[in-house]
Amino acid sequence: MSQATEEHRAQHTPEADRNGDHLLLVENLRTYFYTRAGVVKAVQGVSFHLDKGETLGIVGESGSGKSVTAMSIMRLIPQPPGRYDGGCVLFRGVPLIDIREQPGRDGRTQRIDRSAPESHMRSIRGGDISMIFQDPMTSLNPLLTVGKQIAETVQEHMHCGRKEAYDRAFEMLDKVGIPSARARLKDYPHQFSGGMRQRVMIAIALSTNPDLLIADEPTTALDVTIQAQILDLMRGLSSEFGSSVILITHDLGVVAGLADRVAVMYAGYIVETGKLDDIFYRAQHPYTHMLLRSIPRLDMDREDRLIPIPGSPPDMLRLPPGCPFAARCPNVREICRQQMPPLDPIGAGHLAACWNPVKEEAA
Amino acid sequence: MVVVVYLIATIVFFLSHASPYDPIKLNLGQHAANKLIYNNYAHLFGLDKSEWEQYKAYMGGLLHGNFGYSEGTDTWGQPVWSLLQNGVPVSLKLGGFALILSLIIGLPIGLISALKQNTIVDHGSQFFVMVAYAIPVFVLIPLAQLLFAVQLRWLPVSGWGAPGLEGYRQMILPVTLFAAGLAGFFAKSFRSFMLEVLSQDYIRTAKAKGLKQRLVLYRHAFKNTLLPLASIVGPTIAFLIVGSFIVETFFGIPGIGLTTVDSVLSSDYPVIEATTLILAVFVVFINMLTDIFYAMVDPRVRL
Amino acid sequence: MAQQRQGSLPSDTTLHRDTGFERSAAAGTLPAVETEQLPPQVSSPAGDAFRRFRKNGAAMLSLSVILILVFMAAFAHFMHTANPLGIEYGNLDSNPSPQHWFGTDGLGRDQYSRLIYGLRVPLIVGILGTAVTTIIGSLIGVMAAYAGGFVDTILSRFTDLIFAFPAFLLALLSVSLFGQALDPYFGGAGRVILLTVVFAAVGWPFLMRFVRSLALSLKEQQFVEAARTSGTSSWRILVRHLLPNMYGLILVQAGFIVVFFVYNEAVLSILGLGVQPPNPDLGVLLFNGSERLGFNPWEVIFPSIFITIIILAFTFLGDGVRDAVDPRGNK
Repeated sequence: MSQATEEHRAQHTPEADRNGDHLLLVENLRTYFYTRAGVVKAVQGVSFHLDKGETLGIVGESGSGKSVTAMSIMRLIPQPPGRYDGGCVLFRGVPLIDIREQPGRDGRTQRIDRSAPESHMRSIRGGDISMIFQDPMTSLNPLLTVGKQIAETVQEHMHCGRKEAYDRAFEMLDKVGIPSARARLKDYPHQFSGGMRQRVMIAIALSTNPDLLIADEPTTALDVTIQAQILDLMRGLSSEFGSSVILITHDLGVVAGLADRVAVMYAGYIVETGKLDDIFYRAQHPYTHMLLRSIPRLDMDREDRLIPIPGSPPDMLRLPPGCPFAARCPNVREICRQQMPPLDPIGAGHLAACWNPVKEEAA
Repeated sequence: MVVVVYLIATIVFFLSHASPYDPIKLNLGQHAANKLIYNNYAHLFGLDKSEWEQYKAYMGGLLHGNFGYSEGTDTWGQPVWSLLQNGVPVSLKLGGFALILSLIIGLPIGLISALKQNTIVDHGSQFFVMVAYAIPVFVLIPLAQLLFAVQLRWLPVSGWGAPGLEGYRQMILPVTLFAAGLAGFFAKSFRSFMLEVLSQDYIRTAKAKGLKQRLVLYRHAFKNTLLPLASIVGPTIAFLIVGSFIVETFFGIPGIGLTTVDSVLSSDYPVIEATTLILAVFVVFINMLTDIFYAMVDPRVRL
Repeated sequence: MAQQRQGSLPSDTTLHRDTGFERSAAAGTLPAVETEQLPPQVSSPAGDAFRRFRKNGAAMLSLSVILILVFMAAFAHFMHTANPLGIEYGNLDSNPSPQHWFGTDGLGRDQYSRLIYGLRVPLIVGILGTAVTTIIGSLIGVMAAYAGGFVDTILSRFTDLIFAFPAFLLALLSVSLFGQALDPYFGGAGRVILLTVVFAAVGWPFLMRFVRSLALSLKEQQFVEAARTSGTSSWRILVRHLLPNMYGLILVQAGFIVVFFVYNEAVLSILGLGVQPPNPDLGVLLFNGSERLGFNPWEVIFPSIFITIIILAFTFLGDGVRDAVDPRGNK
């Protein structure tokens, strides 16, 4: 292990973080789904951290495990068929998930679960960590007024009365830019447009002043023009409230405008992570590289071609051994098909999991 | 709605008059051969007028609450309404109790089954539901009568309306058996409604907001399970009607169902028309109530 | 595939920064990319559905049971042990025995034979009736959905009218009014035909509404729009695009309709309004049996069992088809 790796490891272990240095520390999280067709290893040993005020973008295709990671942090994965098979999730130093395996006395591995109780999770959800989802049409209950859906969160977490809760709801609706907010409190979700519904979701999420906001593909279901508005709103509000943000998306463009740091996921692994500029300008993992090549950029010449990534994402039920990207990787080596590379530092705060990363050459 | 009722009445009228039976002949038996008697009878009951005249008379009578006169063998000449008026409350009572009982049993089973999906509770209750639902009520009744009334002598075989405790004992078997099939149907339906609701995104949102489990269930889930209600109102009513025929016949309960059956067996057209009309109106009325219910519960619906 | 792409890159491509990566791509020296192996089975939705159905134990069992019953009913001629109408005064109300497998009834008739013949009416009314209902209902439903506008309005109103009328009552009325008149025709099977026709006439609105709403929702989907823009004729769209998507779901509904018909036929017979004794029919057998509960419980038990089996079998079959066609269901 290189020195950089050792240092990195030392800084970002659960033990080191018991002091709560990081707002959120995820270490070696494994979430698997046990289905009749087989085991889907949706999240395989994912590790990252998030500090106060930061925005982390998690990027990947469908099936890369980004949503499952977010749901795992909130412990919202339905337990059959899902299961948290290992790893730690520390939030402000408190373990939300803490599952380790130890060799037991009888030779079999023992599963030691020191995760927080469900009651603790319930107070965290919506109060300290809020989440907004992809489709605002279906994420709101059609039978309840919008005001009610905001106020109930406030009442639950801030233990205040009805009037204060509704006042807060009005405040939030106004902040997210809904005109005539006071009257709109009594309206039902179907009376709002898609963009406005997502604003309502944001209002709900931020109404309790959470430390962390997780946004799972918040703009994917919206028009491009509305997308920009929503992203601006999120940026403004999160800095105003001092919340950290985890932004999950498949769209690199979305990430570019909002994130401080980025993690790129593929088939359940984080394959590269680093500061925004590091990823966009100094990407070293072949997948990140090819991802960047496949999207249009303002600074390209008109004759330049977009190069799509050949092949297709792997079948999560039948993952081959080694690096899951090996089948599509132009830099592939023999070892890639046998062993998954570890996520190693290649620069300050910049890590990649590759046996044969793309090396920069002098321009 | 009024249009529908009117049309139904008309159809029923013409259908019954299209039948090749001749009620007078049936009732007079051999006397029908005597032209004089035949004509007298016919004239007495306005049956010698043309179809169209009879129709007008009938419709006019309806508006006044006059259903005409019975043509049944035992009840010839009696005003139809007098035959029916006692039956309506009886049937309502029987059906009403059965409905309530089946809701009390079926709803909780369905909902709990959905919450504990794929556990023993779920599989057990699904089995019970299947049994209750699939064994037809006309199978259950003879068997239950055999067991409880004949063999064990716990409950009376038939009868209705006896005063006091005996009256209640009489009600147990019919109401319970009537409710059995419905309860199974409700359990099955509500289980699938609940499962459908629980898989919705807004439930996920509610959980992500950290709301207490019970709150999520009652406020978010339960209300939404009432929405698909319309899809089961139809079969429920159909079952209540058909069921009443069976239950009343087997237990000798003097309700509308029994009256209808008897009138069909004795070709008593006015009564048939009347009961059919009443039942049809009932169905239309319930449908209207359902629409109102929806307007109240679902804010997306505008009356 | 990768080879082709490499070849098509212009040699002077300059993408943002030169890491040699793009040069390898342009020069065609990238290693061959493994493409995914196609799964060996060709999976069509119909094929998938069949496979799922076959795996469903309850459904397969139900199917077998139904087939056996149909076989028994169809070939009752060869399978009965005694004359179903034959009266044996010396052997009234006997218990099951080697000569009379299900015992005899109050007139000494062999129950087993009566039962086998008795299967015919429910099965005919059920299966045939459902078939007719389904065909009529589907046709009208699809027509209404696809034609839209005025045609749709008329058809829908007409359907609603019939639908509003309690189906059973209409059937009841019809049978009571015309039943006796039709007995002399069709060799005594007049009533059965009447029943079938009446049930079909009464049942098709239900299916029409279902098919219509299904067709409407399908019509709005993009693959129809795509077909239309590529110039496919309306008829073709109907047959090749809409119908195949609907078969499965229609079949599910048909399953439940069969149960409904069998049930109601039995009710009619039990009340004495359907097929008349002494013609054997499950409902009639029950009717006779229930009157004589105290004397001969066997008369009730066997028909009960058979009717229950039929209903259960078709119910499970319907469930099985539904699960096979739409596995995303709530199980």
